[in-house]
Amino acid sequence: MTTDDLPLPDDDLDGHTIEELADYLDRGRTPVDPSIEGSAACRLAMTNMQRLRELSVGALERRADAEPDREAGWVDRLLEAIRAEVRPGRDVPVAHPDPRLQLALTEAAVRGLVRRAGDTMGGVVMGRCTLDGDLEQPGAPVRIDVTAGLVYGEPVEATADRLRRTIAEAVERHTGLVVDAVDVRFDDVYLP
Amino acid sequence: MDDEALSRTLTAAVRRVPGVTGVHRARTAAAAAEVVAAALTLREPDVLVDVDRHGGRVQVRAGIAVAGDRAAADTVRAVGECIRDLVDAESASSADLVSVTVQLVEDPVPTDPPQPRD
Repeated sequence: MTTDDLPLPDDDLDGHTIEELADYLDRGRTPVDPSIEGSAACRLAMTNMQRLRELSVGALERRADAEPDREAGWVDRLLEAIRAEVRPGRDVPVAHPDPRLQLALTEAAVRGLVRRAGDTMGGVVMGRCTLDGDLEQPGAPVRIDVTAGLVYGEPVEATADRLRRTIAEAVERHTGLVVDAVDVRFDDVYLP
Repeated sequence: MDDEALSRTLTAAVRRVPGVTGVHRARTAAAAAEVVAAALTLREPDVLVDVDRHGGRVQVRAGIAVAGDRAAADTVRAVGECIRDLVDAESASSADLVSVTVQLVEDPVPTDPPQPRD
């Protein structure tokens, strides 16, 4: 069992639910809710949900009529992955010469930037992301496993290679982690 | 300067560090209660950096959101140094521990709103 298999505590979204955040996005984030806007977890989830909407709205509209059950399942899986990824997780330390400074990124922030890197690359919609390795040791090699949906017509091997490079560059640039490998598994194909 | 005033000063200073898009409470067991308190406006939203004095030690904790167009590691280092330098200058005792955690890396936010076309 990994930490991703554990049940989510109720306060993962600082007292809010993914449905409340979806409604809040639907309202254009108005009126402003300070308890949502002031929560890093809520903002992380909303950023990912918003990007998912922008990427997949066309695909959703086209496939919903033909395969409503399959489409609902795909979206549900993506939303569940986004919800799971807001759990703060381990701290990824950032080195500093002053020992009084204890600096880090949360594992959730790193997963979020992996998702952001993939979703903004084009050609894929990111699914799950898992970080494997001793993240709490500076400079330790890390292995990243991701799933993604592939835009119909995109070459599998070339897109996977591009996604690996994009993710590795983003993680190394922002965190100082050494990316040992990025494993990509395409688990769906969608129309652009 | 009391701890609340110091926290307010630190919160404002952290918000001004290039690359910072938000300041959040460092995640604690009391986070849920703090959300409720904030919703009821029982806690000043500008007092978000934790200042803890215990046994003659000063510990400061903050959570931040950062923009993705600057390396998050660079931004969190700048925030840590900013807090350390301010505490050393403003407080009777220097900071023993400054803990800063990046909780969110966000898409870059345009600094200027889109201009209407002619």
